Amino acid sequence: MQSLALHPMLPRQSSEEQSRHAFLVDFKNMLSRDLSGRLQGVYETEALPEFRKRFNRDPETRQDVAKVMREQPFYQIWSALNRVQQELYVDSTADCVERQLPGLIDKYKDLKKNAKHGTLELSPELKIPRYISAVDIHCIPGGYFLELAEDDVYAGARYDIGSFIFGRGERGPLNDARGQTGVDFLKKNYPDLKPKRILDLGCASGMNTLPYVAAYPGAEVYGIDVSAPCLRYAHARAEALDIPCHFSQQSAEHTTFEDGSFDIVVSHILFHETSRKAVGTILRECHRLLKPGGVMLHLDVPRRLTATTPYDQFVADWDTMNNNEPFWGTFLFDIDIRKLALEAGFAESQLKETLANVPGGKMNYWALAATKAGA
Amino acid sequence: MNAVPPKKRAQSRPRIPKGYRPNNLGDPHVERVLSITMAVATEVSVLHDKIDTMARLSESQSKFSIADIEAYEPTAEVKAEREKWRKDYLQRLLRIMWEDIPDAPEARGTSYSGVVREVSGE
Repeated sequence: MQSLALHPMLPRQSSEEQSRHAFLVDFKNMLSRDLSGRLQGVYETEALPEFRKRFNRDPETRQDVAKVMREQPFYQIWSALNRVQQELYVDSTADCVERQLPGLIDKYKDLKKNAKHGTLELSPELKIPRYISAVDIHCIPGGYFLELAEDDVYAGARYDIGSFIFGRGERGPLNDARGQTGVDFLKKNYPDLKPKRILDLGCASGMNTLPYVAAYPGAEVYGIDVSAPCLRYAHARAEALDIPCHFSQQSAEHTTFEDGSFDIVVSHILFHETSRKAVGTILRECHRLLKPGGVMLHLDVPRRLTATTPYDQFVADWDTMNNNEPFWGTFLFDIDIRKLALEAGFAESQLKETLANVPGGKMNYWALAATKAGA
Repeated sequence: MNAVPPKKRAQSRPRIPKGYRPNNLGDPHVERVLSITMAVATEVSVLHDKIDTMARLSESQSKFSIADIEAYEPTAEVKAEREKWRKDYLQRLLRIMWEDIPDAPEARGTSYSGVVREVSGE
């Protein structure tokens, strides 16, 4: 497992916290990797025959599988343990950040005051969409918006360290595997792009925004998000790493940028935390923001393409009912995103929906890419 | 430092997520007990690492401080040993998840009462 690069804004883990987090990561591994074979065994030997007996056919959807799997005692305890793991891991990373919060806020203020390259623009009056505020997404109490003190960076700092731990250390020392994947995908598929302006939608703590700065020297890179504490952290983190980037508090559905402002618009695991309506609106906004010949690229969880059987889709859908991810299952398996992209103005011949490999790693992400016509 | 004092922060930070709380096990008390159990299990793992640190420090020096324990950086070899311990520990902890335990009442050994009668008879 890789270690995080210890930039000045990163909360430090005490030796006890390191041990606690290491256990919770291995606990997650045991549930999702080691015990997955047993879960499937229960499906094949108990739940599937029960479904056939009851309905006289094979399951066709994840909802079919749910009818018989949710009754299985093994599934029930497996699911309960997964929820327990999630809450313990969130609480432990929250403790780690909270005890260091006064110092982190001081560093944020200092880095903001002495900002060398980047900017931060907050809009306290911005209306926060229901899809991101109605419940605490992935069971993080306070969600992306908790502010415990003035100029708070808590939610952003916790997201950075929490996402690294949840990623089992496989997201690289700067926790930016998704941004690196986006860069790699664009360089391979659109080698002639010479972008002057790049926008990252729903950038949160900015980890995945910054790789675009190094990848396209001379380009101005912008990150927007609806969470003020995440953006404060993102700004301070970028300054601490000496990477120029402009962050502002805006919704990806309706930004304040002018038509045709960007050569590249990207997002990383944004869609599954929005809504069916918002995905369409965001795609239309991407079309509006791109210059002719510009490219949009959206990365999200790979299971949209890799979970193809009703059973795999049922297991993948665990987060919808157990991890406060209300749009998860619908995004992964129910929406026709190509249709939404076409309705937003992109041409069928320009659309790519595929898997993008993490450079140098085994993981991949779902990718939707398209060029805006008219160059 | 004008940030909120620790006591107030500890009181104000929500610790339970807003949203749906699933009831996988059918009884909210059982879910609570499971959460307590795994929290204890986590702390046992934390203590294991701390004891391991102290044991290793004691091999190289006769006296060591709390600061020495905190500053101790496990080598790659020590990290691998601890990871192996955690995996074995998780296997023991979640042993019940790896065993085939019948759930239906008729499969749980109701005939056992027959065995009791049988061996108790004259």
